[in-house]
Amino acid sequence: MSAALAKLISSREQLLRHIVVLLLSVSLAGCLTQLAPDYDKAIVDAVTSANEAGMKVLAAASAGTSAGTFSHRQADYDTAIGKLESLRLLVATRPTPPRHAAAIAALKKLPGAAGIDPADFAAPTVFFVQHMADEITEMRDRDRRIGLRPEIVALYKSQFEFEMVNTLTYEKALQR
Amino acid sequence: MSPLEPLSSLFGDLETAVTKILKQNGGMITSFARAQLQRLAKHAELMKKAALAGAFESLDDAAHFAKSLEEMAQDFIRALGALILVTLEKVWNAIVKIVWGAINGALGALGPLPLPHFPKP
Repeated sequence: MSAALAKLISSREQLLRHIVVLLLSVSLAGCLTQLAPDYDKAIVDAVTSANEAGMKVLAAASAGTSAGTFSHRQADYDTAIGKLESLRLLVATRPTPPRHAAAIAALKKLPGAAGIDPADFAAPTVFFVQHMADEITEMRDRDRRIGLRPEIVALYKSQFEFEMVNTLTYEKALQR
Repeated sequence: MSPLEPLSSLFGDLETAVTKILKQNGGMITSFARAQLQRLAKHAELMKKAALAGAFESLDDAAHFAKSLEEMAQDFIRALGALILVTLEKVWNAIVKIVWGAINGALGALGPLPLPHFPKP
């Protein structure tokens, strides 16, 4: 094989290699994409603080309460609700990435996802926090009205923990 | 060198990166899902306990707590979908970075091309 032929073959191999890689780049690479919001330490700190305030209220009521002693707990309820409402505002005003049609289409196939707005998958924390705030507010109103049975407090605690685990798991997963 | 040799190395890199992300995030998602499903089952048990103890004020009150269980189940799906979306993003971006690394390697002397980004929200 002459040197010229070897050079030609070598440069054709080089060229082919470049073409294949470029084709791959067009079909696969596109752009770096963002499907979820940025990690925000201020939000995680606010979640931790709301968690402590919520748990304090739930622990104080765990053995049951009577409406007559509500005034002793009112300040703690107000603190917890205030922290949750402030957190809700933080997550509701956080910028969320634009919807990605292909990813959303895949998620719609999750069992139980039919009734959920696809936008929720890019900003789920607002629902978790809203439900925790609603629940502690409802617990406060019930406590003031008739007091709380321990079985009812156990239900509120179970809901709060569930939503808090959703929140913390998601917010920490955003650190990427 | 075979013309396909750089490709096998590229696919090897892609496989390693994708497997690593799926292993880390997949494990986290599975344990999250398992723990939350157990919490949902425990919550249903607590509802039964509360009903047996006569802790609900009325049927409407019990129905209200049942509705909360429904909301919890919906929020679980929201969390699961959102965690999958974060994983998809990681996998996609790992692929983009590796492929662009290969392009820049192939272009050699021309110098590295900047990695394109989707506009920030």
